[in-house]
Amino acid sequence: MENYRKSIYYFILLSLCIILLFFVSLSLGSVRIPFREVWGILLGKGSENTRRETIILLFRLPRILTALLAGSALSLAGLQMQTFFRNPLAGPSILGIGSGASLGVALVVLTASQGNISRFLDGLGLYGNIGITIAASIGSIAVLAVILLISRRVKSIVTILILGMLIGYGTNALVSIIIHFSVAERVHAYINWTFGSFGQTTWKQLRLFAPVLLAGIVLTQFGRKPMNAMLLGETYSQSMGLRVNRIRLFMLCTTGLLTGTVTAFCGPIAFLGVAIPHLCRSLFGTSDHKILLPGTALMGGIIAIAADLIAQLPGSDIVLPLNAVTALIGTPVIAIIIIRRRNLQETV
Amino acid sequence: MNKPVLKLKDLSIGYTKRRGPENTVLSGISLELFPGELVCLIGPNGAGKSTLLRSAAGLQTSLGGAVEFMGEDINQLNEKDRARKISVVLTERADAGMITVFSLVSLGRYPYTPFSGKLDQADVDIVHKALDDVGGADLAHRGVNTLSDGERQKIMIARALAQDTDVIILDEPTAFLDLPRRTEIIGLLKKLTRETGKSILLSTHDLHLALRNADKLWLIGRDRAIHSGAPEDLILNQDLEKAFIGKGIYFDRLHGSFVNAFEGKGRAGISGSGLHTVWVKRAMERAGFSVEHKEFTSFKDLSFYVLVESSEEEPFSCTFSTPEESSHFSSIWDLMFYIRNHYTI
Repeated sequence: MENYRKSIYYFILLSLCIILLFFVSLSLGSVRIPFREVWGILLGKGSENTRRETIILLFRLPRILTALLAGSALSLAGLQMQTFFRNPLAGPSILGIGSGASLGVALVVLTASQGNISRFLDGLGLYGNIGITIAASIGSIAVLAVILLISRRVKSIVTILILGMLIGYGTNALVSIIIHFSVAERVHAYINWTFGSFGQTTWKQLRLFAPVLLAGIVLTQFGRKPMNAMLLGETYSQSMGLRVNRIRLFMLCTTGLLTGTVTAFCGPIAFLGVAIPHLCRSLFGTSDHKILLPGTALMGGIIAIAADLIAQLPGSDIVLPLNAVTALIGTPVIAIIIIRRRNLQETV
Repeated sequence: MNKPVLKLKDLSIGYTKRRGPENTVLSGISLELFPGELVCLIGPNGAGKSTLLRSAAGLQTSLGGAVEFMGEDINQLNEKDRARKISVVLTERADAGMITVFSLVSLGRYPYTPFSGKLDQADVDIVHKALDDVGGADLAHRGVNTLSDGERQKIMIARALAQDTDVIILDEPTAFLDLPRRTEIIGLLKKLTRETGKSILLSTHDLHLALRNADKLWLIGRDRAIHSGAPEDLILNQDLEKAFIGKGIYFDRLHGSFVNAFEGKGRAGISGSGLHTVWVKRAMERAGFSVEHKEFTSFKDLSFYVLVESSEEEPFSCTFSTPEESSHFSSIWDLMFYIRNHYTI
């Protein structure tokens, strides 16, 4: 089960996958750019075709970096929630955490006083970016806190899921009220944002996005000892000397920050957070967080880049909504979990 | 041996609701647990056994009084120190997912390992020793989710052992197990107290096992008072039967077990020797007869008489006789079927 040598091979394999996907996605898209040219542009040698240089450096590169970080972040948030709630179906999008973030974003964006904006986050400036990041994080932390409170009383996985969905409906209702009082352009931009995309972040925004997510990703890696103890549940962890309240706060903050930040910049990305920890458990064949934490981070990045690549429909001018692709990847995984686990009424 | 390792001093336990009054489950509890002792906590359902264990383990704040570990109030200890003194095994079936037995048992080293959770050689040795002590050394590389209930319980006990505490508290460790497995687990716990000097406190519904194995019983009575003493003390002073007695059952003080009230079908005699005779007598008692084991003299006040002819190594054989007739049977079921039909039981 915990076959560490085998795991090392998988880690190498996953890393190679990331590098491969990185170049493939730089090369493919509405315009196909040969690998050699991509390589040259990345090394700063430039290209005869400045348009291609622009495509690579200003559009594809930030998009791929965004996908990599966002995928890792959402998957780690999902893993933490699954272990913490001892609920295999927990995830940022499923328990309404993403909806909380959306509410935060809606509050900032739809009520901001600036006039025309074409790209969603443009014109908000750095303060605006920080503002929606904070608002989205607060939104997700608030929903998480509510779920935490409920989960102390209600032990049934299904009940928690339904309550999470209800919270989602509630926040969506609030958003639609805000929409009702907002300017049409902003509403349009907001609706577009809800489809999810990794392509809306510019280098300027990455300067905020990347450090925040990297910090969150690194921070969660330190949780492996308490997370392993949490596999046995709260009472056992407490009896082994875990400060449950402290860990609860840690989980709340990191998961909220990761989900909030990703949601602020990329929109509410569905299903990645819940599906990837499971894919990772199946691949490595273990629930040991020593392996799962880095594994989930890598695999989250890979699947996110792959989903983004699929959404671009290489060779065509059409771009699919990212959420449609992630849902197509995520829903079968969730279906399999539900079918395999006959007794969802009990906590894990 | 003379100083208690765990001492409950005038303890009140229960729950506080955010609004509204305290809900006291038990109060005025004063009990002592000595080193190397196996103590069974017994009492009717809902008497507060789990609450008492959780409070004694410092996992739940008590409403009054104190729990002292070697003279220190356990609520004053920090989490890590407490975890090095008392470990627990809970009733809930902890499904830890896909980890090996070794990994699960090594979680017991939690209060000793550094921030990274890395085990040093000493930790690894302790984990292997703990697995060895519960007879689970060969399970080390199995997945936890492939274990049977009995194996799982042993592994959870090994985890508590790896935590290296003077006191281990177990909440109904035998709840999901069949009878032989229950006997095995209690035997294992008893052996651990003898070999390691650890004190073990467990709650159980299995009165028979508790009476046979505990050094001391903590009995929660009807009156919510707690009686403490050797099992035999509680039998002789009738605290035990008072706590559990109900309609249609009575306590057999001779054998120390609760039995259904005697049905009074009549008297019967039996003779013979060895195991065959013991079990025929048992079957006749089960059918409601008061059975005397004596050589046959006359039918005087006996309804019938059974002569067991076989001994252990031979096939079963007995003769059933009344003043009117006599028949031979080669299994206890045949004998009892005949008796049932004759005496309309």
